[in-house]
Amino acid sequence: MGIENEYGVAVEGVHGDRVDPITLSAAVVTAGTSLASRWDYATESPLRDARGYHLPRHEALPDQLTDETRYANRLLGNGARFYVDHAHPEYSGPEVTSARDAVAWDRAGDLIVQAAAEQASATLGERVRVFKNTTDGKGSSYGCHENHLVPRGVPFDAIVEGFTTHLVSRVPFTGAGRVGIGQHGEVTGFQIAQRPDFFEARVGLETTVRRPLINTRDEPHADVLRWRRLHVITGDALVGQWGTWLKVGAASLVLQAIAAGLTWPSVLNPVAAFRAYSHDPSLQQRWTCSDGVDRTAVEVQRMLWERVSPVVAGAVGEWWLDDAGAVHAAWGQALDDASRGADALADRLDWAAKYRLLQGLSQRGGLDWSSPRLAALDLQWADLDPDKGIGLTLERQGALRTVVTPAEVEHARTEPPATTRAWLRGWVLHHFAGHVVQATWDQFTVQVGGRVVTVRLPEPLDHTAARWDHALDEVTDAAEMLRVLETGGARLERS
Amino acid sequence: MSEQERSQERAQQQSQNTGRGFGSGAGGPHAGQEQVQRQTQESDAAFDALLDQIDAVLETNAEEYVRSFVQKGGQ
Repeated sequence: MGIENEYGVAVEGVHGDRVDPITLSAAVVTAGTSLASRWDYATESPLRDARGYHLPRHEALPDQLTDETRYANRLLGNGARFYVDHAHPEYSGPEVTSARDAVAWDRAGDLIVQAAAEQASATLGERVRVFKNTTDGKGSSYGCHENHLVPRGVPFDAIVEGFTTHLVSRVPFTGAGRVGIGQHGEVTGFQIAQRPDFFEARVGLETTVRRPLINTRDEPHADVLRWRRLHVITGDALVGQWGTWLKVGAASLVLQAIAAGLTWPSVLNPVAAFRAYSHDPSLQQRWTCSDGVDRTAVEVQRMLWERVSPVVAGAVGEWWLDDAGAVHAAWGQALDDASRGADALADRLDWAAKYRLLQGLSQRGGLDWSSPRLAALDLQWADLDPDKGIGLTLERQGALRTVVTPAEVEHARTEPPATTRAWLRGWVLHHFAGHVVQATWDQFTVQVGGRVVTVRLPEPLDHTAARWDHALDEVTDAAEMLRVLETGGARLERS
Repeated sequence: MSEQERSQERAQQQSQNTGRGFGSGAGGPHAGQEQVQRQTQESDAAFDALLDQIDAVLETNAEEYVRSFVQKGGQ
C-alpha cells in the first residue's frame, strides 16, 4: 500500500487568485529533487474502469488525462514520486508492507515538500508555503489518496459493499477537522473531516468532480491478472502520525477481511451518512444500517473492528500487513476512548486536537465559528513549516502522538522501503541514476553502452532487499547490474 | 461557540470544581477527587500554556491569511 498527497501551495502575502498554481507547483517540485529520473507514462491507464470498460479519450474530462506529459515529474531515490498533479505539488509514497512504514515515508514526503518549498522560496524571492490539507474552504478540494493492493479475484462488488461502510464511518478516527460546513464553508461550525462535503456519488471513475466514495480507476501498475490497486480518495490529509497510521492500517485490515470473504451490515445512503457523521463532533449522530440498526459512526467502527478480528489473528486469509496486530489493538483502544468524546482522542487525532484548541481559543476571545481567527488556526494547523505549523508544534510539545522516530523519517527521505519493489527502484537510482532513461512504478529503463533495456517489476511484493541486496552488493557498473538481475530471474526486455 | 457547547463547557467545569472544600489530606473520602482535580488543574495549566504558544504563533492578520488561501481543485 502507499499514500499520495496533493499539497496546498501558496505564496505568503499574495492572494491565491494572483498566483499561477501550476508554475508555483512546478517550481516546488523542481526545487525538491536531487535524485531524479524521467517518469515513464507507458503503463498508466487512468481511463480504465474497474467495472470493465475503457472511457474513450474524447469523452474524458481533461482532468482524467493524467498520463499526458505536461508537468514536472520525478522519481526519487526513496522510491517515491514527486510531481505536479492538477496544480498541486504531489508526493506519492513508495509501496510499503506496514502501516508504520507508510507513516515513515509519508512524513518523509512532508519534509521533502517543505524543503522544496524553502528552496523554491530562495529561488523565487517569495515565501512559498505548503499545506497538508484537502480544501481551501472556498469550494476547492484536493486529495490524500491511499492505495491498497487487493487480489484481482476479490469481486469488486464485495469491495464496494463492505469497504464503503468503513470509509463513511471512520471519520472519528481519521478526520483532520474543519472550520466550516459545506463545500464553500457556507454554514458556520466545525466538522470532523474535510473531504465528506465533496463526495457526491457511491461509485465512479471521476476524481475531480462528482467524487465517488469508491473510485473505480483500474490502473494497477502491477500484473493486472493478479492484482487490483484500490485507489481510495475519501480520506483527509493528516499532520499527525498516529492518525495516518490508524487510517491506512485499519483500511488494510478491512480489505483483508473482505478478501477473506467476511461481510457485515452496510450503512444506508452512504454519501449522506459520510456528511452527517462528519458534521457531528459530539459523535452522537446515528444512521440506519442495512440490518435495521441505527448506529453512530463509532458503533459502526466497533462492529467492523469485531468483524475483522479473525483475520488479525491469522485465522482467515493471508495478507501482508506487518503490523496488523498493533493496528487492531490501537483501533480498539481508540474505540474505547471515543466513548468519552473528542477530548479523549485529542492526543492522537488531528480533528480532536484541533477542536480542543479551537474551543480554548474561542473561550478566551469570546469568539464564535465565524471568527477568522478560528479559520486561521484551521489553516495553519496544516502548514508544514515546523516554526509555523500548529500540528507540528503540538507534536513537538508532546501533545500529538508520533509513531516513528526522527531517525526513521530521516532514513525514509533517501532510502526506499526494503520489503517491496520500491527497494530495487531506489537502489538503481542511488547507484546508476545516470543510466536511467525512464522509470515508473512497475518498470525502469536503463541505457548501458549502446543498449536500452527495460526491467519489468509486475509484482509489488517482489524485488525486495531480501532478494537482491546481497547479489547486487558487489556490482560496480551498470552492465554488471543487468547481468546480475537477468541471472537472478528478473524480466529484462531489450528495445 | 454554540450555546449548546457553552453550556456543555460550563457543566464540565462545574463537575471539576466539585470536591473543593470537601475533606483534605490523604486517605480522606474525597482525596481521590482532589487528586483528579489537581491533575485536571495541571492539565488545564498545561493546556493554557499550549494555547499561549499557539496564540503567539498564529498569523496576526487572520482574515487576510484565510482570505488569500485559494486553491485549484485536485483529485
